[in-house]
Amino acid sequence: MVKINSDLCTVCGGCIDLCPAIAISMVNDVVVMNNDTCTECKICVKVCPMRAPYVEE
Amino acid sequence: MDKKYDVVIVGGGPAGLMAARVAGENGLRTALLERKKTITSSRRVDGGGLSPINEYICGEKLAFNPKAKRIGFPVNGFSVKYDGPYQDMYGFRIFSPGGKMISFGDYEKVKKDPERNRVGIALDKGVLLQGLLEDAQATGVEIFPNTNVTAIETGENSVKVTGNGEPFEGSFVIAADGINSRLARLMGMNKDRKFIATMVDRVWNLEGIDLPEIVGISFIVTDYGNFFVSRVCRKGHYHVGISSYDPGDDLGGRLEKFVYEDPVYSHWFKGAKKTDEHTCVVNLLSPIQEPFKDNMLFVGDSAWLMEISNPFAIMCGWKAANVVTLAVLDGKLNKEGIASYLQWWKDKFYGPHGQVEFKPLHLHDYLDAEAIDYLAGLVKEPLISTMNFYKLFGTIGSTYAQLFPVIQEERPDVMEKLMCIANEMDEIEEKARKAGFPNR
Repeated sequence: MVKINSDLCTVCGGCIDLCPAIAISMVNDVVVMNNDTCTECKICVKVCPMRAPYVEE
Repeated sequence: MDKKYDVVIVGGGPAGLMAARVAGENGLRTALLERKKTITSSRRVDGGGLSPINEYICGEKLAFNPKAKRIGFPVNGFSVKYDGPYQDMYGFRIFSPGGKMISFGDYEKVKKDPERNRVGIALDKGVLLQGLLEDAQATGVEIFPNTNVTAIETGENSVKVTGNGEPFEGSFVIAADGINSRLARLMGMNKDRKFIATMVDRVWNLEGIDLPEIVGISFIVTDYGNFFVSRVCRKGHYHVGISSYDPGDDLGGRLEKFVYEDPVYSHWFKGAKKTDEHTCVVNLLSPIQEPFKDNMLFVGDSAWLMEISNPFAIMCGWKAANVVTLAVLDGKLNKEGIASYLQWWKDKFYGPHGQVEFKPLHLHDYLDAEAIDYLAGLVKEPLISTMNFYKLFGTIGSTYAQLFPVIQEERPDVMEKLMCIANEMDEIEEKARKAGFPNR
C-alpha cells in the first residue's frame, strides 16, 4: 500500500499531476492518497523530490 | 442538478484568475475551480517573477509602477494590481565549478539607471494572486476552492467537468491547470507532444545573507549537479536550488553538499537561515501547437513547455476570456468563435518560440570541472542584458560557435568532447526520456 508521509511533503503537487490513476488529490491543502484507486505503479514514490510517498507492506 | 455556466475555468493561478476577472467583468456566468483550499498559498514562496521587462516578448512590453501598485500591459491595454515587496533583477549569470563567471548584462552601466536597465522584477506570487483573486471576486464570479477536477465529458457546444464529484457544465472550459495539466492529459492533447524529460527541483529559501554576485538568476554548474541561486522579492532572501532530469537523483544530499561543503560557493551561504523548502516536478513536453479541442481552450502553462512566466500566463487568461466573451455574445460556441485566440497564440507564442529545442543536458556528465572552467573563462566581456530564456539559449549558442576556432587551437581535447556531445545528442535525449515518466 502506498502512503504519503505528510511531514516530508511540501505540497508541490508533482505526484498528483503524474499519477496515471488520478488516485492522489489535494484536500484542505494536504496531499491525500486514495488507496481504492491506486494501482501501486509507484511513479509517485520515484518522482517525489522529498521521497514523501512510500510503500507500506 | 447540473450547474450551467458560459465558461468554467479550471485552475486558480495567474492565468485562471485573470480569465475569471475578465469573464466576470464582461458579464459571463463564470465558475473557477481550484484544487487548493487557500488559492493564494503559492508553494513557490517568493517565486513570483515579472520577466522579462524592458524588452518586447510575445507581443508585449511590461511596465511596473510601484507607486500605483500596478503591472501594466501597454500593448494589450490592461493592468493588474500588485501591492507587495519587489526587487529588481538585472540578468542571468552562469558560474563554473572553479568560480569563473559568464555574465549577462554590464552592471557598471546598469547601476546608472536601474529602473530602465532592469530586465526583470522578483515579486511575491502570493500577493500577485491575492490581487488577481480580489479583482475576480469583485466581479461576482463563483469561485470553488478545494475542488479537484477528475473527469471531463465533452458534448455538443459544451463541456462538463467533474469537480469533487459534482458536474460543472460550461459552453467553454478554459484549462488553466498549469504545466502538468490534467485536462490536457484527459483530452489527449499530450499524445502528439514530444516528451523531453521529467525535471525535478528542490529549493531552499535562505535568509539573512547578502550576495552582491547574485543580480538576478544565477546558474552554477558543478561536477555533482546543476544548481541555481536567485534573488527573490525580499532583500537578504535567496532561493538556492538544484535541478535534475533524473528523478532518481539524490537532490537533498547534493543540495546540502552545495550549501554547506562546496569549496568554491558554500561561503556564500555562511550564516544563512533556512526558512522553507519547496519542490517542483515538471514534465517537459513540447508546446501545444493548437491549444483547443471540443470547446476546451488551454491557456498559460497548460499549453507550454516550461514556465511561461506570470505575466504571459496573465496575458493568456486575459485574451482567452475576452475571446470567449465574444464567442458567447456572437452565439458561436465552437472553434470559429475562439479562432482569434488561436491566431494570437500562433502569432505571438507558438510561432516565435514554440519550436525552441530544449536539451536535457547535464554538462558535468560529459565535461570535467577543469574543462567547464576553461570554457566559462573564454567569455570575458558581459553578454547582452536579458532575462529572456530564449535569448539566453541563443546567445550562449552563438557566442560559443564563434569561439570554436579558439577552442580547437588551444584545447583540441575539449573541442573533441564538445563534438562528442553534439554527436551523442540523440542518446542524451533518450537517457532523459527513459529516466522520466511521460504520463500521456
